Amino acid sequence: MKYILATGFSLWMGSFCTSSLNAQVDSSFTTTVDEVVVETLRMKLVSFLDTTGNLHTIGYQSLADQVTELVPAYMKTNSQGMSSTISLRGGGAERTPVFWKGFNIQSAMLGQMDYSLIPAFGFNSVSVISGNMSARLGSGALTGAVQLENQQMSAGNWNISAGQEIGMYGTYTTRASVSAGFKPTSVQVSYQRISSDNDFRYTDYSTIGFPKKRAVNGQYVSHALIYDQVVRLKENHSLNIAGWWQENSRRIPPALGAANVNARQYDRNIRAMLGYTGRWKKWTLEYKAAYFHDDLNYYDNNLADETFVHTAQQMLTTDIRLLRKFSVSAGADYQVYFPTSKFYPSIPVEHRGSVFVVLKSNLISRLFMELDVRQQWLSTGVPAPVFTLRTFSGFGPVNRCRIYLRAEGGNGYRVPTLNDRYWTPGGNPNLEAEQSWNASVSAELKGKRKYLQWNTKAEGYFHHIDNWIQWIPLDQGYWGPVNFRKVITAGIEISARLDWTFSRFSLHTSGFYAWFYSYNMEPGDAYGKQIVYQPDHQAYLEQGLKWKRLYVKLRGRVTGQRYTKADNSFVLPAYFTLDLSANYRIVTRVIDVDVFVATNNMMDTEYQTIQGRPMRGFYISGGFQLSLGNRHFTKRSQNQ
Amino acid sequence: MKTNTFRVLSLFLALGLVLTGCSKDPDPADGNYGSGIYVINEGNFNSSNADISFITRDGFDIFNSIFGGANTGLILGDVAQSMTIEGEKAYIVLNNSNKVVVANATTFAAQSEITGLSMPRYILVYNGKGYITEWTSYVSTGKLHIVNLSAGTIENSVSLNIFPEKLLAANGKIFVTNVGDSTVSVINASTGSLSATVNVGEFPNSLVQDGNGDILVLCGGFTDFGGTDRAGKISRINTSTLAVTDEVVFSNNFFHPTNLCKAGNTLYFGDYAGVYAYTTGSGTFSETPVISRSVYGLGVDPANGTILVGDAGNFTSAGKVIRYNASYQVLDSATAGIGPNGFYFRN
Repeated sequence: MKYILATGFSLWMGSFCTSSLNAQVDSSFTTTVDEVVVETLRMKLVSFLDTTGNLHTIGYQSLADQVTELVPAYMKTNSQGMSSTISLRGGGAERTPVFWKGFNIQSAMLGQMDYSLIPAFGFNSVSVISGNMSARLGSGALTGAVQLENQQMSAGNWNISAGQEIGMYGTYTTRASVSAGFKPTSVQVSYQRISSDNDFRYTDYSTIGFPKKRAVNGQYVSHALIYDQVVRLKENHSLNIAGWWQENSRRIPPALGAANVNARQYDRNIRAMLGYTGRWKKWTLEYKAAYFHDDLNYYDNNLADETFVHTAQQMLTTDIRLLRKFSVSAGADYQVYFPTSKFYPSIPVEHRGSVFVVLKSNLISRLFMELDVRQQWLSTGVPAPVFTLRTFSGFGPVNRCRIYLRAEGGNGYRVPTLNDRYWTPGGNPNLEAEQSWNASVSAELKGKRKYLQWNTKAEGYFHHIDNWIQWIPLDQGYWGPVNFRKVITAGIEISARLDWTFSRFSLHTSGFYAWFYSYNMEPGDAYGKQIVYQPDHQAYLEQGLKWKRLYVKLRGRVTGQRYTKADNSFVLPAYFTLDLSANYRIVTRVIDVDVFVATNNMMDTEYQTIQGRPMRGFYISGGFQLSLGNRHFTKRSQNQ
Repeated sequence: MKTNTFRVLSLFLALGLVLTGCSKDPDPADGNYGSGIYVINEGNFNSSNADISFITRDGFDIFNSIFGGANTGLILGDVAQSMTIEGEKAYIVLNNSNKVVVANATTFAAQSEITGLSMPRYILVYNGKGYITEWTSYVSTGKLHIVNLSAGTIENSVSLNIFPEKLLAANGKIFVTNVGDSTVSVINASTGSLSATVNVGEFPNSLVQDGNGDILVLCGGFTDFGGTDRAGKISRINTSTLAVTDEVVFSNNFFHPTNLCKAGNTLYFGDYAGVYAYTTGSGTFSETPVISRSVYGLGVDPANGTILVGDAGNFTSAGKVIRYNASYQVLDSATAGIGPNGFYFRN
């Protein structure tokens, strides 16, 4: 029983109410399959991931697409390849930060992360965390967070892979990756290039007669190079060197009915990180330093906005195991921002720092507890301290079933972005940080029979966000942010997964349903109304079938209606999309070849995720990926 | 013969009376709009959620989205800047769609589009021709397009100064405010060519013709986000000599009103703090609002002198239209569309 609880607890703590995915086709990482599968199974306890692991994703899906397969997240995008943001539990993109190597990589100006700029291929572990994680991760994680990680190869393993995908509308994706593990070091390098004409056909509902037109000004091209290396200095001491370079050039199509002003955006991100990890008998020490350079340049026929921010960050964390059933983690982080923009006439350098403590205990039988506490400081003010208390219990097995129960409560915060405070005109240096209170409970049941595994989970949550930062027209005649809105959100998320395996045939069915409710407490027309761009209902169903080396996956998604105005006077209708994809792996003595074909939106559904932005209809793509690793040579030698 | 003629005339007269008695005013509830107040809801930029509302004068009953209601599935466009009605046609200027949508003025069923424009602002129909101001771009001078309304094509274009805005016909001339500088352009309506440029105050944004036939131009003054604003003024232009014969300069450098309208000798204009009144010829002006309500759209109904204020709120919800009497008391209010920026009054 202890083992079950400890395992369950570590799984639960490690990915608290998370979903995780292998963010790529992953046939390239054949020698890391074991790790991946282990990771997948580990996460499966709470997230019901595909046990087929490396075949979880077919084709070169974007990270945003993959995330929305795992949890009830709402993705807003102007169009394929265009700016995409993800919102968990109604918090909006500003309250769902993205972390890389433990550092928040949201734009310091906008306070959002553009998911279209994250090369899913470059990461083989992505965790999606629903719920308030402010006390654990810092500012902004009020309703969720996404964590990007890489897993290094063990010594003696290596792999080289390369692939190409070709899709409709002149879409090309090229990917290459090298991973190798040696005794003193392991390294992983990934490169991705995506380009598209993106001139898909859509119905122009702004022109009399509703003619079919091709999208204009939607071309894009992006390059990304990701490097990750671990150097083992000596036993239990290592260095981690990581870098992420990315450059994107894209045109921005006009909204439906709007004029084409030849809008275009150039983004460049350079991220570098150096970390040290030391482990001793009862404690570990981790220090990380990072430097980010983020360019965001926008041009159209009338505007030219060039902005860049340098960010230097440091993080120090230590874990101390005081007793067998009690441990403490403590740490501190520090960031300094140097922003420059045409629209920031004079902006001070901003310093931010925080200290945090995590207490873990299983002193009480069958009850594991965790308390996170964090205090943030900014050069412009000090938000209130935040905490989260989590409890977890596991029972079983009873009749080959186990049940896990958890509950959490706490508060969170989000500090204003640089645009919120310094944009000219309108920036409001006196903005207060958003504050939230939250609570959630969940129950999970998992069971196993000879050929069958199942897993089901239900979670209910509640959030109260105060001092909500909202941009509105000001008395001075321009827009600016104010603290004014109080919002209550609540919801229920139910997910389930069933796996049936018999010999070389396996079948899995998984899906989720989410119901979302919000109550706007700001007096006025929006009082009592649902917050904007959050579906009241979402449902997802996935059917996978694997037979020998063929894997077929069918996905259906229902997204409920979404309001686009605070007083709920405008609504985007609900829509249903269906995707079908297949992957066949050819295994030879010298190389593995994955051949895949994927269709999206098979029923050619017309829908919008942002008002006035038509989405792509039916789409089909196909491609291949070649993988060569030490496994092949091992096989060969065995055969010989 | 006389008797027959009399009988025939009597018959026609009786028939005419019967027919007249049977005819009804257009009923908005049936999607037919006639005499009343039209509200231009510009919508959110890049969201293409502009539309038109109709309000009855008697009951102040509002009918929203009358264009959307008459044209199922058809989006009016992005940022409805202004509208005018001439005969049985309504001309709706869509600023960020670069077009003018022509609709039936009674049913608002879409009929055609005038295209080839770039950031169009306002339209005037004069002597059977359409005059459309356009900014062209944020970094260049603007134009006045002269449009053949029957064909829906641009006949002639006149280059003007920066940001040609509202326009008005008087004394055979078209007067256009250039809100990006300090001038009013004067176009000879007969030749369709620029005949003069009149210097007025900084940033002239709107104009009316007073009872003497003069043009009164509201100049908003210079807005500088750094705090060195300059005051606006009201300039009077003689339509014959094109001379500026009078000016009323505002005393507050940070007072930047827009939306000039008139009711008799009283001028109304507004800003974020409210509506202001000025009696022409009085020479004195108080910067104390007569109506304290944020003004996004402003109009005076010529049928009864009531004042209509469009309050856009925070643009995240539907705006409000409030009607005041000449004593500035609230008479009615209604919820319109997003960003009610102006009115068209139809008799």
